[in-house]
Amino acid sequence: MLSYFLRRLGRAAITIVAVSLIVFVAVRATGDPTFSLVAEDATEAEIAEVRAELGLDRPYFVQYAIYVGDVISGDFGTSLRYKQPAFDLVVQRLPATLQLALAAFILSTVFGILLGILAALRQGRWPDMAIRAFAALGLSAPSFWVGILAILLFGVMLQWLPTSGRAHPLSLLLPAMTLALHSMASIVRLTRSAMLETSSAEYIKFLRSKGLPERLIIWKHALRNALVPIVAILGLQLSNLVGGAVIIEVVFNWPGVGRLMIEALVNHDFPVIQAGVLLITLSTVLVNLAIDMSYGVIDPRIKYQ
Amino acid sequence: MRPVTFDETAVALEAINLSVTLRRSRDGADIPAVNGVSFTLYRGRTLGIVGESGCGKSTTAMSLLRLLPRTARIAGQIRFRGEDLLAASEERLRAIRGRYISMIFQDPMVALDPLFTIGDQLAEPLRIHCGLEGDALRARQVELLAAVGISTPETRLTQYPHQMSGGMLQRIVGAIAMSCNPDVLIADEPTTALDPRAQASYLDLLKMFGETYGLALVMVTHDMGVVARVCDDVLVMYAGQAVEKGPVRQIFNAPKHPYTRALLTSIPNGEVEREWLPTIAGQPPDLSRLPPGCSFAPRCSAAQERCSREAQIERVVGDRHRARCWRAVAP
Amino acid sequence: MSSTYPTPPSPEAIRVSGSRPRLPWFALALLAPVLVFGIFGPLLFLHDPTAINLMTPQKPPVWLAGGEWAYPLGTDQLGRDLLSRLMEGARVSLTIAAVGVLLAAMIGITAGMAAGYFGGFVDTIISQIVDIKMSIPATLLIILLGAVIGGGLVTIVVSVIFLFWADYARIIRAEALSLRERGYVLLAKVANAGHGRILRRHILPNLFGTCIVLVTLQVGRAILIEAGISFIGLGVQPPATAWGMMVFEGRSYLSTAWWLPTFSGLAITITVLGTSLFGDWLRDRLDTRASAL
Ligand SMILES: Nc1ncnc2c1ncn2[C@@H]1O[C@H](COP(=O)(O)OP(=O)(O)O)[C@@H](O)[C@H]1O
Ligand SMILES: [Mg+2]
Repeated sequence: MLSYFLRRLGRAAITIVAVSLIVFVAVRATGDPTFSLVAEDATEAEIAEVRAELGLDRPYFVQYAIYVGDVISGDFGTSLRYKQPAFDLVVQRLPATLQLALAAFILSTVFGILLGILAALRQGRWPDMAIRAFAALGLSAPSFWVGILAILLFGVMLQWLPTSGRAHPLSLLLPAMTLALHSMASIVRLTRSAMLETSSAEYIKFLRSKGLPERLIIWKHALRNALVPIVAILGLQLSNLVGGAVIIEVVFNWPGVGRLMIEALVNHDFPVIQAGVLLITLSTVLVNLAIDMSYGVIDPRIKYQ
Repeated sequence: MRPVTFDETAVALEAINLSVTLRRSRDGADIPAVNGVSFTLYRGRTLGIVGESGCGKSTTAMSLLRLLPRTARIAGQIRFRGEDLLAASEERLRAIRGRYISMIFQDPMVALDPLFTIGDQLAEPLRIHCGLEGDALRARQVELLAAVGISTPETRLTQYPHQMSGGMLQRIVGAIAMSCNPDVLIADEPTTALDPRAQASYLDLLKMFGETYGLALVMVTHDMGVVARVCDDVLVMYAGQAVEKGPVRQIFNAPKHPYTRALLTSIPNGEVEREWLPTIAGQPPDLSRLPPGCSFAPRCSAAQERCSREAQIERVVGDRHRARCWRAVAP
Repeated sequence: MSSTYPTPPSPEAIRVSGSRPRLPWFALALLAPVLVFGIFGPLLFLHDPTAINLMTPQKPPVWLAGGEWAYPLGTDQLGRDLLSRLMEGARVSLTIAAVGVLLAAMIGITAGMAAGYFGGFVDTIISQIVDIKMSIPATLLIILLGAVIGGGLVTIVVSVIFLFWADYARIIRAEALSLRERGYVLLAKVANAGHGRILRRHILPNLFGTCIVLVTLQVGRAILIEAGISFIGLGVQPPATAWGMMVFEGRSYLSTAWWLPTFSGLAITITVLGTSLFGDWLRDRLDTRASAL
C-alpha cells in the first residue's frame, strides 16, 4: 500500500514539474518581455539593465529556478489588463470552475453507472438500445452545441431555467448537465461492458451455484467488480471535465477560470493564462491523487502489487 | 462436522433421459450437447463422468442445477427428493443450490470473487441457507476451514483469494460447497488445475467427504486415473451420449465400448508424467453436424459398414452395466 | 502506462448473438453527404459561401414561413447561404481532422513501437511522457498553445497532434510488446536482422489493422477538437469557415435565427457519429486491440 501511495505521489509530483516546465517554455516562447518594458529608443545599456533586472541574462536553469520560486510564493506576475496579481484573479474564480466540474463529475459518475447497469441488465432489449443510442449521441455531439440547444430550449423557448451567470440557485443545473454529458456517455459504455464481462465470470457462476439471490450477485459482486475499471478512468474523466468546463463557461457565461483565460487569450494577458493553467492542473492532479488512493479501497489486490 | 450413518442403496438423485440443446453464439446454431443421458446417484457413492473435452460432461453437470445459459433448452427429468428439478421454480432451485446440491468448478483461481475476503464468501451460504449469524457463524466458518485441512483458519478468513495458492483455494471452494452439508456434490474437473501432489490429496479429501457424510459425489473428469482412484460407478460420455456406464470394477475389467477401451489405454502408469496422452486418433465430431449412425464410428478402429448406418441403442451387458455398441454382449 | 488507465473492455466485446451486417449501412449513410460535400463541395455550391448579400439576411429554412428554395437551410446574419457554408465547412473540418490525425498517428506509432519493442529505458521515458500528457486537461494545452502561436489552421493541427499522439503510443506500445515475443520476430533477431528492419518488416505490418481503426475513430474526435478550438476563437479566421466557428457565430442569433447554430452543430454530430460507428465496425471486422478507444 505504501509503495503504491508513494508511486502515485511521485507521479503527481512529476506531472506538476512537467507542467511548470511547459508553461515556463511557453512564457519564453511568447517573446522577450524586455521590449514591452523599455522605451522605443532605449540604449543597449538600458536594455541590458532591464534584462538583468528580470533575470533574463542568467542561464536557463537559473531562470527556471527563479520562476519556480516565484510560482511557489504565489507570484505569477500582474495581469496586464486588470493590473492585479494574476494569482488573485485566478484564485477568486477557481471555486466557480471547481464547483462546475465537480457537479458534472458527480452527475456523470452517478448517472453513467446507473444507466450502464440498466443497459447491461436489459441487454439486447429496448432500454439497452435506447441507452446505447443516447451514449453514442452523447459522445458525438460537441458539448458547446448541446449547451446552446439547452439554452434555446430551456431558456429562450420554455424559460424554465437560468442560462447565464451564477447568481440564481438553479444556475448550476444546465451548465453542469451539459458538461456531464460526454463523460457520462463514456462511463455508460464502460459500465455496461464491464457489467456484461463480470456477469459471465467464473466466480459469478460459483455464486449462483451457492444459491445466492440474484440481487446479491448483481449488486454486491458483479457491480463491485465492474467498478474496478470504472474507478480507474475516473481520474481521466475529471481531467476531461475540467478541460471541458473552460468551453462550457463561455457558453453559459459562468464566471470561472475558463472564461477568465479565454478573455486573457483575446487580450494577450499572459500572466493570467499562466496562473490559470498552473492552478487548474494543480487542482486536477490533487483530486486525481485522491481518486487513485480510493482505488486501493475498492480493489484489495492493489495493496500487494 | 459429525459423520453420518446412511443407507448405501438410498437414491440421492436420478437423471432420466436428460437432453440439453445449447445455442452457439457465433452462428446461432443449435448444439445438442447432451443427448438422452440417464444415471442414478446413491448416497455415499461416487459417480465418475468421463470423456474427452467437449463431449458434454460439464453441460450435464451444470444442468443438474439448471445453471446453463438462458438460451439453453433442457428436456428430461431430474428427480431429487421426490420432485422434478427441471419443473421447479427458479426460487425453489435457489433454495436447493448450495444447500442440498452444490458444485466445485475447475479453476480455483477464478472461482472466488477477488474483491471479497474468504470469510465473506464462506459466510454467504451459511447466512442464506442456514440462517447462521454472529458467533455461531464464525465458529462454523472456522470448523469448515479446519475440516478441509487449512491451518490457521482464523487468519485465512480475513484474507483475499489472491493471497493464496491454487490448492488452498480449491480446498476453500470445497469448504464453501460443503458448508450446508449437502446431499449431492458435483465436482467438475476439480483437480485439473492443481499440481500433482495437491491433486492426490484433494481427491482423498473429496472421497473422505463422500464416505463420512453420506454424500453422493459426481466426479467429472477426463482422466481414467481419477476414476480408478475415487469412483464407484462410471458414466462414459462421447458426443453428448452415455456410451457406457456401470460399476467401476466391471468397466475396468471388461470394457464393452471401443471408446471406453481407448480411454483406458491412455491411463498413465506410475512414474510417467501425468498428462493426457491422446491415444485416440482424430477429433470428437462437431456436435452441430453429427455423423449418421454411431457418432464414434469415424474414429473407431473396429468400425464396420453397419456402424455408420445404424444409430446405436443402449444394450444390457451385465447387472447395471450398459453399453451403446451393437457388438457389446453380456459376458 | 497501461497500469494507469487499464484498457477498458470494448463495449462490443460481448456480442449479442446473431450475425453482423456485412456493411455498416447506417454509418455510411451518415457519412455520405459529408464525404460528397467535402470532396465535391465547390462544384455543388448553390452560392459562394463567402458572398455577403445584405438583401437576404437571416432567411429561415425553406420549410418555414419566409423561406425559399434558393436557400434551403436559410441564411446567416450577413445573408450568406447556410448550406453552402456548411459544405465549405465540411472541407475545412475534414481536411484539418485528417491531416492532424495522420501526423499524430505517425508520431504516436513511432513512439509506441519504440517503447514496446525496445522496452527498458526508452519505454520508461515514453510511458512517463504519455502519463503526464494524460493528466493535463486538454483544453489547457490548447489555450497555452494558442497563447504562444495565436489562432489559425496551424494551431488546430498542432493541437490535434499534441492531444492524440499519446493514444496511439499507448495502444501501439501494448501491441508491439506482445509482437516482440512472437516466433518470427525472435527468429529475425537470431538471424541478426537490424532493429530498423525488424520494426519495418515484422512489427509494423502487424499493427496495420489497429492503426486503421484508431485513425478512423480519431477522425471523429479530431472534428470535435477542431470545433472546440474554433469555438473559443483559436480556429481558422474569417472569412474562412469551419463548423465550430459557425456554431459560435450563430450563438449570438439564437433568439432570431436558431437554425444557424443548430444545423452547424448537427453537421458535426452526424459526422462524428458516422465515423465512430464506422470505426466500431472496422474494429470488430479486423478484430484488433484498438478497443481501448
Ligand atoms: N455456452 C455454450 N454455448 C454453446 N455451446 C457450448 C457452450 N458451452 C459448451 N458448448 C458446447 O457444448 C459441447 C459440450 O461442452 P462441455 O459440456 O463443456 O464439454 P466438456 O465439459 O465435456 O468438455 C461442446 O461442443 C461445446 O463446444
Ligand atoms: Mg468441461
